[in-house]
Amino acid sequence: MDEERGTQREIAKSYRDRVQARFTRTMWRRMRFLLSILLFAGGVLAIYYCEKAKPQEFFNTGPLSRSHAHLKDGCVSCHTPDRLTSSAGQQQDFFQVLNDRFEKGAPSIERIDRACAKCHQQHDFHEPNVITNRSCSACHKEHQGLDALMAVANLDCASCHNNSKIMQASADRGRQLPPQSFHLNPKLVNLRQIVLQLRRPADGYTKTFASFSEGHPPFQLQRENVRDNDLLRFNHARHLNSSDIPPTKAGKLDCNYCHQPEPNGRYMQPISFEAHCQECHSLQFDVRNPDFQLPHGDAQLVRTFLRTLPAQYAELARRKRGLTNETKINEFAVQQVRQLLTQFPNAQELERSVFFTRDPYKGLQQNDASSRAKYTGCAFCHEVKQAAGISYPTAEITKPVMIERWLPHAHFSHAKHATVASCRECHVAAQSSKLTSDVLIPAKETCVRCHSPTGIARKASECATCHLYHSPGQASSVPKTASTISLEQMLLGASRSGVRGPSP
Amino acid sequence: MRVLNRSQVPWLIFVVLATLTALWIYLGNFQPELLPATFPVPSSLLQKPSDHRSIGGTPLGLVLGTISLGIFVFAALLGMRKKLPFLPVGNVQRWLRAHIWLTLLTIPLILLHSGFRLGSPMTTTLMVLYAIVMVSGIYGLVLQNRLPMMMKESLPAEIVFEQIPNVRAQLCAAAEKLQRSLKQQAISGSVVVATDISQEEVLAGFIEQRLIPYLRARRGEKHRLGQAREADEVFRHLKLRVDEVYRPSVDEMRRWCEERRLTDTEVRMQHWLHGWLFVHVPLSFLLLLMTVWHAFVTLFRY
Repeated sequence: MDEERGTQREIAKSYRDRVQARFTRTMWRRMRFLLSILLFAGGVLAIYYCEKAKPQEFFNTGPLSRSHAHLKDGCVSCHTPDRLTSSAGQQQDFFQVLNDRFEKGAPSIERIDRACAKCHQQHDFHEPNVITNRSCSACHKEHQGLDALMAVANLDCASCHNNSKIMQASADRGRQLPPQSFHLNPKLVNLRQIVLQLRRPADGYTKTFASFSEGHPPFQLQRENVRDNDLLRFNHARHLNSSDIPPTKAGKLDCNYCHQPEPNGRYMQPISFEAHCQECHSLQFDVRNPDFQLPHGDAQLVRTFLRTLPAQYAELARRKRGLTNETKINEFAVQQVRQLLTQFPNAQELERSVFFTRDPYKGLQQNDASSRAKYTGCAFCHEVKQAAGISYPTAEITKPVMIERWLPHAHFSHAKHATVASCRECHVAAQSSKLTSDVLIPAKETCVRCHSPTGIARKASECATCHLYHSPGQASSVPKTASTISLEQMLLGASRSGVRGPSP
Repeated sequence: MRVLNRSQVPWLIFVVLATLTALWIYLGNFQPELLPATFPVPSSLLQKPSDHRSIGGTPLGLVLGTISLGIFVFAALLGMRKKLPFLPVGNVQRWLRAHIWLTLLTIPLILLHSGFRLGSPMTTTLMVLYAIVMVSGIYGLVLQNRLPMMMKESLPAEIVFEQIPNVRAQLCAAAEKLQRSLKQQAISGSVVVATDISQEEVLAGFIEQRLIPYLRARRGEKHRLGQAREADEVFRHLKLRVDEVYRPSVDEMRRWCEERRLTDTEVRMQHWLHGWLFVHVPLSFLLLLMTVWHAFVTLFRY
């Protein structure tokens, strides 16, 4: 082929004297050039139009969240159309903007956050020992669909909590702050709940870790081997495993008999004697009168009841026996008191027996269920002490304090877990726990089994699944003190050394 | 000249390494759970806590975007470099290699900059423009790699593309000159061996009616002389109709037609070879303009 074609030199020679001295533009090149000019000019015109008319949809990066979908002013509710301005309202230097962008990512943090603060005035930021505050939009990603705003990624939390320098600085700052600066978040705990409040660690919660499954420390109550200090005696193992406990009206005794969820399904309702204990642990202290029962909940009231037995029997005669004749009522009362005192040497001994008996099943094991429900003595469950300085047997009963929230720094929903696990799968220790002091809250490892990237609840393994970032919104519950700083002040770099409002 | 050859290997290695590095840093910063535990990103490459609203707005995203914009600007300078060959800034071949490989590198960089999202209509427009420019560029790259080989095989004598109209005009001029000469001979009768005057008229008529219209035509393949086999037939018949003395002239005309056919083939191939630039170049400039605007708006407005 090359022989046919000839060398470049031969080809050039054949065209010698036949070429023009100057290259001319072909039509195609001219058209290409023209098209480039036209498109470029079209682009300039489009930019001019957008700068003038500012078509909002053109710059909209995605659908707004459910919360912001109906803002009446549209884009300008958050995005002010003027050029970037600093906090002082002055235009920023070109290079300063660039520097901010490459250093922090978003120099418009103040402006966009001021827009947030127009509506979210009661938002406070994180804990008082935070080193660097973040823009709202750093965690709450807008323009990413209806529900994305609240879906805060682990990475946002880990940007500080997985940074040892930041955590160290935060620990240092926390040590300088008075303990009352830190308080539970009222959004996490119901003020009516009895909450376990542990002492804040010296370094606060500043351990460096990446995620719940990777490095998150064990729960503080397990780390510190916290015990339940409630003095009410309760044996989970006996109630759950014993075969000699007859079935209740609702069936065999199980977790759900006592631990019933709140209407919203999140936490358990408080345990009450009347709802959960009395069916078995009757207050019937007089065998002959099953409907004659001691009051519960107040030792003073019980004492008064016992010291006015004739009057109480008379009332029983009137209300339950249907007697109306005062003579017969008195006879009934006297008869009942006499019969009762045949079992006890005197009234003093009766009162002592009621308050201080600790062996309730003695002599009753063989009774059937209908006659078994006898009064077992306050001391069977309660701590009963003799009042100091009084010779007559005057009991003092330590009021039980049953903690309802053991992990007040996180929120939890029993309802969400009930569909995937039984009580005993998580509260494993309940089966064998014999002491009230046993804390039966599952360990972190139990949660990680599901709440990890490889678990079945991998999508619910974010920090925000359990924790809230925002610290207490003081304004709603407690009046702001002079030392409380607003979101705007905080973003503008106001001092954080002041003490916040008192803890709730 | 093949565009892809061994001299591209260092560029290929560079682009692959740069892509892997960018991906590694990206994953380390934004999706560390996807990164193998044996390849952690050092803390010096992890960006500070950033108040970004999109990956493109983070310091790392901005670095990726800025590099891409820089490559766009560099790519646009290739045309200028061709216009100013005397500048001591490397030869055009090197520039072309850098143009190809660096723009290919922008594919991962832009994807990482965008966080694999299209974003607003503005950025979607940019992405569509970018996709068209890149696809047309890659298409052009494939053609540039294949067509020169095909041209070498099918074009015995390649002409500088811009000179083709000139060469065609010269062919026409030669044909007209021969026609004038034949007419003159027919009128004056000064032919040395003039046995039949009608032969000159036949030749002059052929040139006027068949040859010159063909040589002047914008699209030669529509003419009978534009088809090699038919042209051979025509010239064979023509030769039979004229004496020996005119046969060199017929052969000359046949060579002109062959040359014209070659220019047609070359034009066709050149259109394939450069047609993609009709899309690539104008949209590249538009893309550059819109990218600069995108950078301005996102850096200084929002």
